[in-house]
Amino acid sequence: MKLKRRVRPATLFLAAFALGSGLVLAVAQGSGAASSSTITATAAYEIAHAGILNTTAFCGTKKITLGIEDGYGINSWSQASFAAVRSEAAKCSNVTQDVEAAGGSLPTMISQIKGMANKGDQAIVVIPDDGQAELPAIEYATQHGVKVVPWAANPGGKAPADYVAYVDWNPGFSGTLFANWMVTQLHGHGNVVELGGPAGNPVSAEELAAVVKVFKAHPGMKLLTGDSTWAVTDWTSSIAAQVTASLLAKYPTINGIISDYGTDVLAALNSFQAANRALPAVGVPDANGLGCLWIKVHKSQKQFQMITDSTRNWMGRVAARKAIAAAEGIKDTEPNLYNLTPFENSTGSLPPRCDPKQPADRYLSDQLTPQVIAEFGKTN
Amino acid sequence: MKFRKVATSPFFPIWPATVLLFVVSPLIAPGSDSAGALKSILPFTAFLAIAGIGQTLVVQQRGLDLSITGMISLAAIIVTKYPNGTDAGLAKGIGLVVVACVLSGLVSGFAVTVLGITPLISTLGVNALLTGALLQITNGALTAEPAPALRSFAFDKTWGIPNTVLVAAAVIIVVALLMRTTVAGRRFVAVGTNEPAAYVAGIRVKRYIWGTYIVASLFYGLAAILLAGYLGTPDLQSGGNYLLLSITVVVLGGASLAGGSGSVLGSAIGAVFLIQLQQDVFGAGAPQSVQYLIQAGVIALAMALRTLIGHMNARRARGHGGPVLGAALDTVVG
Repeated sequence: MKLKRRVRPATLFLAAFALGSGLVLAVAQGSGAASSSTITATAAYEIAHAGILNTTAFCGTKKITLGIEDGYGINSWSQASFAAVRSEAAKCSNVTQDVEAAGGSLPTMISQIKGMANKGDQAIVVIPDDGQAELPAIEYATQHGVKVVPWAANPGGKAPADYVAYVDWNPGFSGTLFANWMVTQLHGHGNVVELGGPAGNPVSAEELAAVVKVFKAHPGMKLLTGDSTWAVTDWTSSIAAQVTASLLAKYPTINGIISDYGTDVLAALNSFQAANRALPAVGVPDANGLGCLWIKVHKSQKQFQMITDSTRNWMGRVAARKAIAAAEGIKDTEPNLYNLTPFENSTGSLPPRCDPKQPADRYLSDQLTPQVIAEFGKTN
Repeated sequence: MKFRKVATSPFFPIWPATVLLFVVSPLIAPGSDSAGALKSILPFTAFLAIAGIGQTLVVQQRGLDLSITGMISLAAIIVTKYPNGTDAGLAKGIGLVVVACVLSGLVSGFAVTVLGITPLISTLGVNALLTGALLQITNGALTAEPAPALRSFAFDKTWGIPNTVLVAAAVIIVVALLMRTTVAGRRFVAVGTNEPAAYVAGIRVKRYIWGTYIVASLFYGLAAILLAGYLGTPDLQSGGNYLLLSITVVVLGGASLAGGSGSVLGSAIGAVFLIQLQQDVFGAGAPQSVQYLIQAGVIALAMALRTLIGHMNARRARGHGGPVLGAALDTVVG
């Protein structure tokens, strides 16, 4: 008994120690597992670092195929987007990529998304350029068990019923940023035109709505292209140049341009120069050529000032991480919607940037090297 | 009599129509025919007029060239990508455009003349090939700039006139003269008007038709080179607009879609008319949908007018008399 009495406390102690150790270990392992399989980042950090995170925790271990779909897919913006999504997915050796571009055709895009689902892709990252018209195809994929993450254009619908998450900038925030800056720049009085993509697209529509809202409080600010539509460029530089030529012909004074695509504004400024017209103030997502032009001419054209935010192709990285993580059963707590702060402001402390070694329609805010664009900025 | 002959020509209506359009333009959209406005849109008129020459030639040979969009897009990319911002590479870039145009025309012409495939299907297929080549060499996007010399040329003016307009004018005059004053030009028209008769007359019909597709492609290439220089950042869809536009200017210019008759000068004036009309519609604040509707309406109207003139002339030729357009105009003018 004595022995028993002596042994019992020791046994109990050992048992308690073992149990406690086990629990601590289990908790530690559990928390370790949680920390290594939860993707966390703040919007501010991601905006500053173009969505680049030094982690592969989202990759998981299961072999999956990631469908990568761009409703447009045939301009510089799309190339940078492919590069961002594909280079992020390439970090995962267990992820195979299935890449498609629809060339702006809604029927093609719908069939490509459904095709990906039918082929058995476990996850899809998609830019639904035609907005809500593409929601049924996205829902179809979701109903077939595919983890879909739309980004860069709002398809309508709701997460998690219709898709995992919708990742994007807040175009209204950008529109408000550009419009407020324009009001300050033009001292509350000026003629502004809005350039945008295909008629009715959700990105241009949301930006325009925000601009209209800001200008309503400033009666001296005139939106020459109207409150309900924009000058349609189809996000194509040849059309942007011609539309701007028409605007220049119609309006003797244009003080500002607001747009959702930097390459369009480059083409538009071309038309200003061809017509020997003073370059306007510009609020638009960044493009290398804009910064280079500002550096070249701003001393002789003081009215030509610019504010940009990121052209946001890097959000494709976030979308890729979310889609892969969802298919792998890994938690992702990264933000879905980003209020982009200025990338350049020629009238503030963020001087325009120019890399003369890179073409005019590269987007420096994406922090994509020419090598990454060459390797991943394509469909094959 | 001479005036009546001119007035009843299918190539005539576009001239007074264009004058009339410029007269009413200020009423539709104030300022749309000012010097500044014209300066802004003239280069686009020039690109369309040059591309329109190619389409006119194909239409004269009873065809319709759907490869125009792919050819313009591809040529704009080639002349930008290969020089890659250097003047030293410009000759190579232009040379490659010429090669691409000749190849494209060869394939279209081969399909039409040797394989006997209708021009619509042949050129649709070639357009797909060109688009495929475009995507292959660009990987979906172009990030390059044209040679500075090309950019300056396309941007600059000589005697106050944009260089692009001078090139267009020179090319149109040369082609119009070749068509009217050379044996080859007359034979070209003969082949388009009546192919069996031309064959019986000893004209190598297939050679003319085949050559037409090559020459047409070269005009698309020229338009694309100037367009690329002007835009600075041409994209993969630079030629996207030119299919409907080029067909419209050909119809406006008075060419018959049944082949034979056509006028490069008429098509050029058609380009002036169409771009100014677009300008007016845009200036009046009409949305893009209305612009497309008006463009389609203009084609329908021009086709109807041409058919009407054709019927009137046929009636007159048969001696049925009656009020023909030319006679009416003779009466008005005296």
